[in-house]
Amino acid sequence: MPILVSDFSALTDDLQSIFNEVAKRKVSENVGFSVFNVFDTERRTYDHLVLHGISGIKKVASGQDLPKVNAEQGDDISWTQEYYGAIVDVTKAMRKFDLHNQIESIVRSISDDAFDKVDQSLADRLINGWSTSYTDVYGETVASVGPDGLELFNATHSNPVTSNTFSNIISDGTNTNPALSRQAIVYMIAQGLKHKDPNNLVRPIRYDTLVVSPELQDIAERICNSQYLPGSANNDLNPLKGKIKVLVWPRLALSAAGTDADAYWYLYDGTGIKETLNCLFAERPSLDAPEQVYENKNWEYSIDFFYAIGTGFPAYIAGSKGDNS
Amino acid sequence: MTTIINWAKLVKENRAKSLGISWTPAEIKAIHEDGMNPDDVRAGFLSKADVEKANAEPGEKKLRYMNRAELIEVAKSLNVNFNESVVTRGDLILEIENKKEALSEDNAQKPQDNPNSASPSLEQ
Repeated sequence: MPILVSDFSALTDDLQSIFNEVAKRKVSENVGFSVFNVFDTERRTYDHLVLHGISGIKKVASGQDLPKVNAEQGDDISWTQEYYGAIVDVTKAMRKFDLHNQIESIVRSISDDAFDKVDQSLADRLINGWSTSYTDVYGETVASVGPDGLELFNATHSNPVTSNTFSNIISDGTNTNPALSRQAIVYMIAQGLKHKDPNNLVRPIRYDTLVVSPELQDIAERICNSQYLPGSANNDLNPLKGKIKVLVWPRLALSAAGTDADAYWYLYDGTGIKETLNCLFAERPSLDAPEQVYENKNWEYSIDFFYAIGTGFPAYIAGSKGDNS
Repeated sequence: MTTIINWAKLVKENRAKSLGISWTPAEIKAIHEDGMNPDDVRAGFLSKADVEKANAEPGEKKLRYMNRAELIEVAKSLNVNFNESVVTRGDLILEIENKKEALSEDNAQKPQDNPNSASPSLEQ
């Protein structure tokens, strides 16, 4: 039976339920949404301020005025959201000949595309964390520097207050960018806990999550989840068990531009990561009811969204390319 | 999606090489580990020995080896029009070179002007 104008509401409900089903599945599957701090904002350009440390707490004598906080000038960065979307045409022929299955497939596929591209764009920010710019999943060149003008992963992140620097490139104590190993994780946990702010006050970074591509899943699980120390002869307990959560992110294996990143791995502080990796939406992906185009009688459904990825204070994540570079 | 950072502030604080240009790992090493002056690194030097060698070269110091303050002095002496608080080192070098080129063209034309100026009288 042909799909008539009177069936428009029913078809729209059908397609929206397909979109909602895809959205629900993708939001739960896409690892990027659990790594990045995803939030909604009505501002197209979002200004973010990184404060590297505030000093001011002092002993107050009886009757003395409280000292004023000396807010150190931080670094600012702004992220501007861009508009993404596509039109899904339901043509006259599709309706006339009741190609309902074909219509559903197109909507399902384009809905997948929207969420897959957002997730890949998030993964690409990590994979390209050693570059100042890269080509994103939409084919655009994007700058990936943080507020200090350096790549996300750099050995000398700076601050405006002192000449102190810090590295968030993973090391095992001997090499930087080492292959995934227990030694490197243990070393980085210790380094994180000793992290100092520009005023030399210890402000611990508590690495509690390991993010890997599927290629490294096996070794990651064994390092972090074995009850006993892997490879030890005397069944030593594994101190990492229960302390490091393993996240396997399939899109970390390959960037949209084709960079093979199977060996890359990342450690982050689950509490502080929102200061580092942000994904802001002015409008989340949605399927909107169509307008009819009279020239060809197509019903044009649209899927569109506004979003941006923003990197802030880089200390809460560390990365390794796994090649000892 | 666009990311905008305060490059002018980073350059002023010597935390970036120039507007839109981050330090490379070798440059960062030269500044932080070898204690080099950031302006010398901006000029292309990666070791103090190279700076001394360039300074010891006879003749006028090359523009690319000058730091921002030196370039500003040269630009002022050539009456280059610029705003001292925002102008970049690269733009100063370009403007100074342009000004010097224009001046040398003017000087080259002067000897030719004399015969030309005499020609109307010959035609007469």
